[in-house]
Amino acid sequence: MSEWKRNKEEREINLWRFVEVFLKRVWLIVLAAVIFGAGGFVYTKVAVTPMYKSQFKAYITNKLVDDKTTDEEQDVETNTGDLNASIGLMYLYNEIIQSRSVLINAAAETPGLENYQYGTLKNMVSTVMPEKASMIEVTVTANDPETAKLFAAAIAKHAIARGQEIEKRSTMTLVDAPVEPKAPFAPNTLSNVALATVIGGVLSYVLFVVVDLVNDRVMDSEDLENRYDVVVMGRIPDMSSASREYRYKYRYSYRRYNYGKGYYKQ
Amino acid sequence: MKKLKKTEKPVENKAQNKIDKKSSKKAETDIAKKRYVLSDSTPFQAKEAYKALRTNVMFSMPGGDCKVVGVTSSVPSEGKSTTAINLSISLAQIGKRVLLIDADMRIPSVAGRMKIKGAPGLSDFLVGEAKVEEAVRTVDEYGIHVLPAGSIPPDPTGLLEAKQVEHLFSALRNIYDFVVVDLPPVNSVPDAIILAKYIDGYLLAVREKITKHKEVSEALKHLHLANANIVGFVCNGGPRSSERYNKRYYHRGYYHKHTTSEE
Repeated sequence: MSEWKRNKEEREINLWRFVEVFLKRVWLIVLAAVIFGAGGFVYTKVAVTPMYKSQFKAYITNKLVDDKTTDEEQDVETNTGDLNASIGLMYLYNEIIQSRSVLINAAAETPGLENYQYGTLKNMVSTVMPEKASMIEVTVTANDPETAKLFAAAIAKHAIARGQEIEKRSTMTLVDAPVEPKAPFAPNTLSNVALATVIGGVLSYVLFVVVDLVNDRVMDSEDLENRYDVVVMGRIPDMSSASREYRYKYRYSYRRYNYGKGYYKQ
Repeated sequence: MKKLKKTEKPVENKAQNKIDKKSSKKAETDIAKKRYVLSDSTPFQAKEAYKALRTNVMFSMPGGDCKVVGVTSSVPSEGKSTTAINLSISLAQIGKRVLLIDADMRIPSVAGRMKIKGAPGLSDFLVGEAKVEEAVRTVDEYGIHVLPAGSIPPDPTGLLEAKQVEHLFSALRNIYDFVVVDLPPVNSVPDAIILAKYIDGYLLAVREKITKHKEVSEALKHLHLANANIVGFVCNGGPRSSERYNKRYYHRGYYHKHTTSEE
């Protein structure tokens, strides 16, 4: 009597099997990746609204230069304390630019943004203050290039005015005025497509691996011998594939016969 | 010899083409069915596979006495009848006296494949309505004897538990070298287990990528509980090109070169 052993509750998983799954389904994985990539491209072009950026840079100082001050007096009055104060003013103007009064007033002058809430307007504006420089860089993001430029220009105008109201000895001078952007900065079609392609490939591969791992079917004779203490006495190939060979051979000779009937004449 | 010249395009006879296509499809179906039974038109690799199975079965059941081999499976449609038929034919090809018994009295298939009448058969013999000599047929085309299932009885399990079965197998052992029994699936009905005391070894047919391990485990458990001798598995349905051994030794050039000279 031959012995048989219980089906193992713990299965050994050969790591090579993961490679086999990939090699067996490589074309499907590639196809899935291509489909996801195409989907990502379509989504980017159709569903995602392009966004535009307009920027301006401004220099902030605490020196109030008027017609009465001579060039010599300006040079004498510049000192380290003034420079430190300028940096402090930079942070002040950063707050002024993002304040409710400046943004609401600037939006009122920008077509399309009149009814926007303060919170939304604040999200459209971002500032950067480079180290060791009394400069501030303001970026305005909008879904229309002209709107971005107009809003940025209005912010600059109102920020300058509001800053001088609050701190009379301060001034903000535009270094780079805002311009109308020619191309959107987002979305990045290429990176979206690449990301979608990678996600599609990885997801499909993971799916195939999971399907293979949970597949309880007998894969081949080796699978049987590994699982059970019973020998495989014979491995019979699929004889139905032989009938496909016959169909090919038969049709080939059938076509030759038909052409021979009326095609050639003595 | 005159050379034929191309003169004009062929005139297409659509009606004739339809008739030819129908007859070719029928011919293909007939050929396809025939191919599942070992014959000259069976693919070379399948023939060799059955030869290997035959050799393994013979060596795993040594001794000079008659061997009773039962071919079963866990669930239906795993190729057990095809295996039983082709194993019988393969054994007959080396001069053995072989009897193929279709013990699947619920869904018999051997008679149809062997192109013999289904009745009288095993069930008719067991109920006493036919003699063994009437039920056993000779299939000269394959050189085997076949005992078909016979008329479908209302209670095949009860019939197989009859005393006549013991007498039948005792008598057959004196006549044949191999008795191959095509049994019903183990997990479906207990018929295959009932005959365990008469069968020297079981072959369990399994179909690649179809049969589940759970079903195989259950079948092995049933056979173990019946103290059956499990000789081994027969794995059906593997792709022909996946065998490295076949690729190395039986690639096209080698095959054509050697078989044309042998045939």
